[in-house]
Amino acid sequence: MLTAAGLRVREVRWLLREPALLAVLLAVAALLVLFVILPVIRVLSVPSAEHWLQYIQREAFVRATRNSILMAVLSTSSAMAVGFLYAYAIVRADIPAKGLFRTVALLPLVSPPFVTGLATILLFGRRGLITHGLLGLTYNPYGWHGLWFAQTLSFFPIAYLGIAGVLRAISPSLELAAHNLGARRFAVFRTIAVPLATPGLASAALLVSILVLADFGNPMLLGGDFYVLATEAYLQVIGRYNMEMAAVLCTVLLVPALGFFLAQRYWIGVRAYTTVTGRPTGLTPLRVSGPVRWVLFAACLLVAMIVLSVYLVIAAGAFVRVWGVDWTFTLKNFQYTLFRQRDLYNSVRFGAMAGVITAVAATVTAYLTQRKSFPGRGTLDFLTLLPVALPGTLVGIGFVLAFNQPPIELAGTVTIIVAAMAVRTLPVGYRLSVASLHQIDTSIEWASRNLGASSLKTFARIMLPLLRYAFAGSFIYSFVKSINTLSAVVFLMTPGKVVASASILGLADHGYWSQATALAFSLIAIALLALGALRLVAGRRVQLFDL
Amino acid sequence: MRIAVIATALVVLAVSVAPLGAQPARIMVYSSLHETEIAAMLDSFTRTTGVRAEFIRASSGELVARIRAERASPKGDIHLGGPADGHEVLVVDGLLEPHRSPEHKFIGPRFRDPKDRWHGFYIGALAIAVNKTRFEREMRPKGIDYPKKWEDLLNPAYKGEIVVANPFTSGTAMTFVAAHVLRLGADRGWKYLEDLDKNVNHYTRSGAAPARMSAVGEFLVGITFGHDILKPIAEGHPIHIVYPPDTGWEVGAVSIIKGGPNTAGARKFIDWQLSKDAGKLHSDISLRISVRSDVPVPKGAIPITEIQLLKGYDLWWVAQHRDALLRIWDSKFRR
Repeated sequence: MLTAAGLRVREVRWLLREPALLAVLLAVAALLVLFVILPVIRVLSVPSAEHWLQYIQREAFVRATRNSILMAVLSTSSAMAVGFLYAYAIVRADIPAKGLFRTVALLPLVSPPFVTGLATILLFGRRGLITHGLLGLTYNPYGWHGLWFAQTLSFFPIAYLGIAGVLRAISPSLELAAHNLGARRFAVFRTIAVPLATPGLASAALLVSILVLADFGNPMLLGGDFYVLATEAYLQVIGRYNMEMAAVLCTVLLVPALGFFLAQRYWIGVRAYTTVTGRPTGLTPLRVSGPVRWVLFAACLLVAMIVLSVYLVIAAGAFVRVWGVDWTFTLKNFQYTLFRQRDLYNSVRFGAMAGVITAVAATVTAYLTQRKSFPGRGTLDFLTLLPVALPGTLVGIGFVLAFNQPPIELAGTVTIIVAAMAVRTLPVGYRLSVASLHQIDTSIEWASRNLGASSLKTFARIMLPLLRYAFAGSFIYSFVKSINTLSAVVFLMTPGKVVASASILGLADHGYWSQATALAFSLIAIALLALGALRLVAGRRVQLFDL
Repeated sequence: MRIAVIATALVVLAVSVAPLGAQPARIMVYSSLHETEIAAMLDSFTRTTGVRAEFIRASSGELVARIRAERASPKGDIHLGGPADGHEVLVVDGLLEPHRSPEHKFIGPRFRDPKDRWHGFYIGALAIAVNKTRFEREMRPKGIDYPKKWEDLLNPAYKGEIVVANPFTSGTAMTFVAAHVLRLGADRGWKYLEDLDKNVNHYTRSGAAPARMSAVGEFLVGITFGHDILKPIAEGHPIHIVYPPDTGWEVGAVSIIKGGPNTAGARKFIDWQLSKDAGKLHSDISLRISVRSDVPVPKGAIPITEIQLLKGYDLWWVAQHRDALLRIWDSKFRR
């Protein structure tokens, strides 16, 4: 019988026997403290009581808070509704052209989120192709409604991914049993599928709402005078350099995000119903009836067409002279892209560096937490996943606060930008590595250890080759997300270190739509090329987005 | 396979890190001009002087805030463009480095700081951009004629159809707000802005954006500096431009940030920027009017002598009252 304390002592003794492992562990922990914990602490500690008082008293801040909540509630509901429809149709209804629908849902995940905002202006804006050109309306997209539309489109794929996972995990046998016992299809749906799916749905909804709350690009483009916390914080920094007030606003953003993260980890995670059936049953799920299937198909088609039109508009906008005025085909918008190729190059370079760092850190950390036992293992796991809950704006402002003066002065360096990108993508890379590790039987590792290899050698010779696809997956995921990221990086750019996503937003903000779309088109093309390369290298062995 | 993966990773890493190596002396430029203009000018500067230059673009209000925030360890060398009152604010804070340029003899004393801390290189005046196509279709039938004076914009027919920038971020908008306060006095000036606010759809971040928005007909009316309206006109957009009488104006300036990483390079930049050749290049691509009389008015631009400028516009007064004006604006117009 081993007491907890005894176990602890034994873990420490094991660790001391392997100094290399200990060194790696300490290095990982130090980096996480430096780039995850320190910025958060700085954001929390900078504002004084006076600033908090200002927050409560100033109407603009109260309004921004209200707007953020309103937008999160609206967009999460609509994104979840669309996502559920999409997932149910694809997973359960066996609609035709599933592959096409899956691919379309992938697009918003691999392009800058504000692309939908830009397309909303071009399609549905006051001179939009559809609202004005086709229907002759003058609809004003600047405000909560235009933003709501863009956010729904941007984030429904996340909802879809979560919900599809949940639906797949529900064993068809329960539904079949209910059906055989005489329940009608809708009753089966209501009494079996919905309750089983609820925890998973809640967790998907929480994720979407965190992302909506933290999003910055779309509110910037489409908000007009509708400020949310993220844009208000940006204005505080960029317009006034009032870091204290910006930190207050970020903290307000952090509270729900952190709350959701903890709820997910300690409540939903525990309550998730997995239907234990042992081996896969091989049963085909209960089919929906014919008409329902076609209604679902039509709905999916509509959603997919709207998403596709967003990307067609970006592509088309890149090749016409002046959107809405002069539709002549031209390549001159790409001259500008060539002109600003430095920004694209920076995006690719920083993204690649962040990708390497994320992939290495994720693989090593996953190996440590999954295969080694040491004191603080749970904490390490927690810290690695924590950045999921940190809004980009908070990371950016936290980095400025933490690394702008000695002892750690990183302002204006490539390091600070790359670190911000890597921190933001670490959790997903880590999850990919953990999932791969679960598929590798521990017996191989024990064999290597028994034959006398050290932990490090086992990791390098046995685990690393087996983990190479997860490694490649983390790299590409981090790369794609990093070249598209905006909210954190926008605070860290200095002359010569401007990234393409920021120039796109700047151009769009200025009304240079053609140049903005040409640059966005190039960025999306690079992301798709990277994903294609991954598919070539790893085939279907790595699923970045579990479609 | 493993070797291939590792090799790829190493190559990526090498390519990523390579340009971090030797870096020749560069100047860091903070500029509020348009991206295309900055890039073309810095390119020419580097070819002429051999000094490399990097830039970041932001609206001038944002740059003033940034330079103030970095005062402990300045990261920029040059503050390029934007109304001189934004530079004068930094003079008051003691953040600009004086520089005596040989080109000063070609520039009238009212276009530069008497103590050489900022240097004007262009003049601009506020104007109204009206989308012609939409105006003829939507306003003319109501018997409304093109606006001629500022008060014409208060017509309720323009409700939701006017865009202008936010003075916190935009120097253009700062000039706009200050000009009305100086034109009408504080009480009537703010009253005018409050009345106009009823017609304003929203306040943009960038000063020049309203011109583009009016150019494509997104909004009927955009208020910004005239040169920012002339550019879409030159590109063929259907815009009617109006310079109302007693309009606000700017001396567009350039200055050296004190204690920046490369002050020697910054001095070279000022001398280059104030030269005749650079003045001509800048005027030709931007349609802004140079303060140098030997730089011709570019084709498509309107000579400043033909515009009725507000006589009482005092950039030193504006610089002094900037923070107070912003506070009042914030309390009135933040929706």
